[in-house]
Amino acid sequence: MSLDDDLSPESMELLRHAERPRARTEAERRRTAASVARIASAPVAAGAAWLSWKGAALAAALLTAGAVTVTAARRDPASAPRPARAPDVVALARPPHPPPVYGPVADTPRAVPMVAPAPRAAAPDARRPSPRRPVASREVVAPAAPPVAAGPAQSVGAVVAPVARPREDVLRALERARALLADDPAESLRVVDALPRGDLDEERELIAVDALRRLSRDAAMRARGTAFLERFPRSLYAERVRRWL
Amino acid sequence: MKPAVTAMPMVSAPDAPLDVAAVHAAHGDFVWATLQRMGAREADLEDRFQEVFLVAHRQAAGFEGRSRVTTWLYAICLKVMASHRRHPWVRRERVTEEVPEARAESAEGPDARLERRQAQARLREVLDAMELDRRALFVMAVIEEIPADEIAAITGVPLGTVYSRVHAAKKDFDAAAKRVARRHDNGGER
Repeated sequence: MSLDDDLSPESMELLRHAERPRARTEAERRRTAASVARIASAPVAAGAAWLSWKGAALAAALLTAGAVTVTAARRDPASAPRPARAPDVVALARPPHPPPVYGPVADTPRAVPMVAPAPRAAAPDARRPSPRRPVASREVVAPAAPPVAAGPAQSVGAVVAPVARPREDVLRALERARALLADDPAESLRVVDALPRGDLDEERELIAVDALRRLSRDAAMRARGTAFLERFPRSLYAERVRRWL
Repeated sequence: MKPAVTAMPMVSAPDAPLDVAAVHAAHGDFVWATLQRMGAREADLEDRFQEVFLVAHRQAAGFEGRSRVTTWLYAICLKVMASHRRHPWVRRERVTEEVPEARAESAEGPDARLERRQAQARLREVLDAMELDRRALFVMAVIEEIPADEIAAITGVPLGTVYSRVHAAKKDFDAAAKRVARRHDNGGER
């Protein structure tokens, strides 16, 4: 099929930098073959159950307006349990992401403990706030379905925050910082350090540690990387940071 | 231009129920490439790949061999990718994708490298703005230059339809490219 018919010169210029899909590396080939072998040996129902769980969790996360997000589940392992795992019959090379949870927007103080009312379709033993207690605007309703927000996640001390999309400007700055990492890590570090503390701290710190590493500022990288692991020990990026340390 | 990942055995469905491990052995590379054509992020690629085979495993008993295995896998890839696209966290995860190391001995200077990366980022933005199916068709036809008859075999649509869809995909790409250019000219506002 011809490349140059129907396309504008601007599009042609864009396509000058196009790259074709890359092949799997040997390591990827080994990992994916192993995971498919596990899938193949699992009963079909187990795979379906896993999908059902995931689908239910995704749907609930997307459709439940004002659903509770348990930021602590990722940020504070001492006070929040891990999401329920699917049957281990289908063990993936990397665990499937639970529906990501968003914490408060950047200007919401993280230290302020917030109490969540019980889910609308709460489990029988779920705690309920006193009906007389005034409901603050930050308080939200927990979703019933996804295991990620269910059960003891709302124990005392858990920081429960409303679902909020990350701030657009912060996301944009993080995207810019990430794009700069390879070619100008110093500027990338400057960008992330200029951002306010907030919900995207995990992502911000990850980029900062990577930038320090690329700048060969080893001591600073180790200090910040160690702090990252202490603060986000169950982060999806923890392994990456450990590798850098 | 020779496509990097197009060697895909077009085997028809066997009489016996499909074994997902055998499907993987024959078509793993095809699925890997297809997910990239549909815009799977580097950090998500293995997860999406496993999801495709998990769905394939679940649906293998229902595969009656009326289409090619690759056509069936292509449809599964579309569903898996569609279920993940546009989720609010997709953008958030994008900023944490691992960035490849700068090439120390690259022949291109830092300015050229930066320009190339920016152009690739913009290209990705344009492709992300397209419908999944059209995006995949566009990548196959225009970027990989896969022959139309092969695309027809992969997607399971008639040859004439492939031509008309690719034509439409090119128009979409042009329009998305203009939108993205305008947005960048206006300071990145969405």
